[in-house]
Amino acid sequence: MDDPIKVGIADLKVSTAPNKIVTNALGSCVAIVLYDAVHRIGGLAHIMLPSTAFSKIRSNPAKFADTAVPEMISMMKQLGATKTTTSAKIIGGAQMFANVLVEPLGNIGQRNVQAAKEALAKESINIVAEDTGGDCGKSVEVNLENGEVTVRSIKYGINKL
Amino acid sequence: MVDKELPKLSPKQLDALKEISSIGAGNAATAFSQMLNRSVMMTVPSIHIVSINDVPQYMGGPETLVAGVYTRLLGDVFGSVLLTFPRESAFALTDILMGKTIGTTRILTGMGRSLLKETGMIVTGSFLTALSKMVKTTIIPRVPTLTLDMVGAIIDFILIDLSQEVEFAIVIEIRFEEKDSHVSGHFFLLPNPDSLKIILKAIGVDND
Repeated sequence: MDDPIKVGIADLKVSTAPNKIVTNALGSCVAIVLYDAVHRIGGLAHIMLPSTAFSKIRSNPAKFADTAVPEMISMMKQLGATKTTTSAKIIGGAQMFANVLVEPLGNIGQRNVQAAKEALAKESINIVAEDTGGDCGKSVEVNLENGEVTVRSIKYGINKL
Repeated sequence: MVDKELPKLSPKQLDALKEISSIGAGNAATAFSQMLNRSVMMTVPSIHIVSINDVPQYMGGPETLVAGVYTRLLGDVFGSVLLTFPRESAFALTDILMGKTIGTTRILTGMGRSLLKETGMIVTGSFLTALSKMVKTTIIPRVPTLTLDMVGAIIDFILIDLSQEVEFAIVIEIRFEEKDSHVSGHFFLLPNPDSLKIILKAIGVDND
């Protein structure tokens, strides 16, 4: 099998079975995973901020929860996916250091998780699993063969979603 | 998709930044040596201006496991300082500081954690004292915090913070090492872009 497709920070990729998509070391960032189980097409976005309202530079849709979700849906559509057969999983949004807040964002991890949920609700996509919050970093692998998501962290080892 | 054009520093500005970082590093190395009662060597600082997405690569790759001591800077110069130790180094350092044989510590206890935080405070503090004298500005370090995790996860909130304004980060990196016990670590200073301007101005190279 080919190497897994890598998604960086503020980046998103879509692909089809049997490929795998990975993203490494999420802290306060959030990974939004979409998977169409019927057409076996999926995508992963590694977002940094809740919405374009939080940044002066808005050119990259993969950076924000509110723009990454529609972007991913339209890219998956081009591969043959349909929204009605697509569901979501979200991972990340930790607070890595207690008492360290990003002004004026506060607990940015929590804000990102919330924004991801809102963006998915807006598109009427169900969240079927999540591994969010806490205080540890997570790496994510999506298997587009079956939509299974493997979350790795040093604190909890492996968690399958 | 993203504008990859990064701001550039002139050779003169880079030299000046390296110079003041070296003095800060020297100060920090001295403090660290005294603390350990061993000779700690530091490298010449390297300065990178990189796209935010690439910062974890400059810290050894996103999944590199480190003990990270994070200090937020306030005052005239805003930014972040992150001191990272590879896991084995963090353990060895704890042993040295507790007067134990190296190899004793296998897990970080509360005591070990506070010793590492203190190390972070002393090393960071010595660096900043030298820096603030040179640039004649007030730099206030907040209380440091410590976590053991993947470096990419540790720093992403710093990148999130920066990404509200810019698409790049200025990474000033210094590597230090104590030869006998193989304790090594990295000191990263990430000034906010506006603060970098203040520093450049203070050392008289803002228009070069």
